[in-house]
Amino acid sequence: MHTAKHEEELILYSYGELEGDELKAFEAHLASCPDCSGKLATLRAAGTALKDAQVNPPRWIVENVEREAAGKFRFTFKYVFRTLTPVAAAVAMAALLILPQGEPQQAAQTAHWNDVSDTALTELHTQLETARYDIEYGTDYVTEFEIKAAGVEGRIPAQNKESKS
Amino acid sequence: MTDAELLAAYRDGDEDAFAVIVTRHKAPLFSFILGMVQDEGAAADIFQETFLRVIKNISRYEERGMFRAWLFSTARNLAMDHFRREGRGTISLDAPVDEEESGATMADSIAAPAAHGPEPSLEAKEDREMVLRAIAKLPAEMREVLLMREYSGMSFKEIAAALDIPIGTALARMSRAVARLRKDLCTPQNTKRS
Repeated sequence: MHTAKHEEELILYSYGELEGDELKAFEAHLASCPDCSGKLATLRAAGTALKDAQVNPPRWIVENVEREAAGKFRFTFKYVFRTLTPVAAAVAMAALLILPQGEPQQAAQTAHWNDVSDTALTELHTQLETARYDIEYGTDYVTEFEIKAAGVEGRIPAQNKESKS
Repeated sequence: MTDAELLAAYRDGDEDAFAVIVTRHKAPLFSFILGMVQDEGAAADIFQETFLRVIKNISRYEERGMFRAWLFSTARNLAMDHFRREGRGTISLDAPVDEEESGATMADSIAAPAAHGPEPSLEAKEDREMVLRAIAKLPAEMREVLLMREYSGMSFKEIAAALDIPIGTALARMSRAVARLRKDLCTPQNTKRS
């Protein structure tokens, strides 16, 4: 006799989610129930049709998502500039301003900006905003230095101090 | 790598890890969404928004081996939002589409090369298109269970949890979906000519 329980078991059976004694009992029922047999055939036809209809999203949508995922890191500035940018130049210039006169620099030295002049900071801020705008709106610029919240901390190439102009 | 490992890598700054996640889930997720909303333009928007929400909430996501459930339930909720905006709960393949959009629907995908296997015969294509049309006419709550089971690979227990319904309800909706499909596909105009 076909019952509501068989309806649920049919669904579970068709997707391999019926096990043990329940599986055996249902298979015995299925052998003599045309209603269940018919519905099973319908379910399998639906599964085949849906499987064949599986499609990929448009490529541009995937690229948008990947770009957004990459853009999540733009404010931590963990990217690498592919070309020399105004920001890198500003960072280098600001680093020169705080370095002792004539002191040779070590490669990849960390620069601390606590003593940087207001003018230099303002210019740095402007350059950073420009870079952020470029990153946000799709250019390939990325940066290599980490920006802390209050001061500015970054790794820059070794530079010997030059005379201020 | 598992989804959990990829998400952890992405949180640690590995952008490529997220690209792997997208590649892994893009086809089933997009197909699920397209099956729900039956419009390629809307499906593309919902697909993008789904992943944007994942990116936005990644730091708050607690991995319990349920990333797929999170992904598909987010997409499902966005599809339901779409229905509410459109003011409809069932979608017909014969419904007029936005002239500015491509309007490609799930049945249109039958005309495109199949993802797997050889090109089906014309009769097979017609049969599949007939089945897809019948699926598209199902009420949304029935259709979503069927589509989610077929495309997400989640068990009915997991689907029930993702939809926040008892498993009995999920199975009942599936059962009613099958009954409707069978009735629709076995009507005189849909039976094969012998």
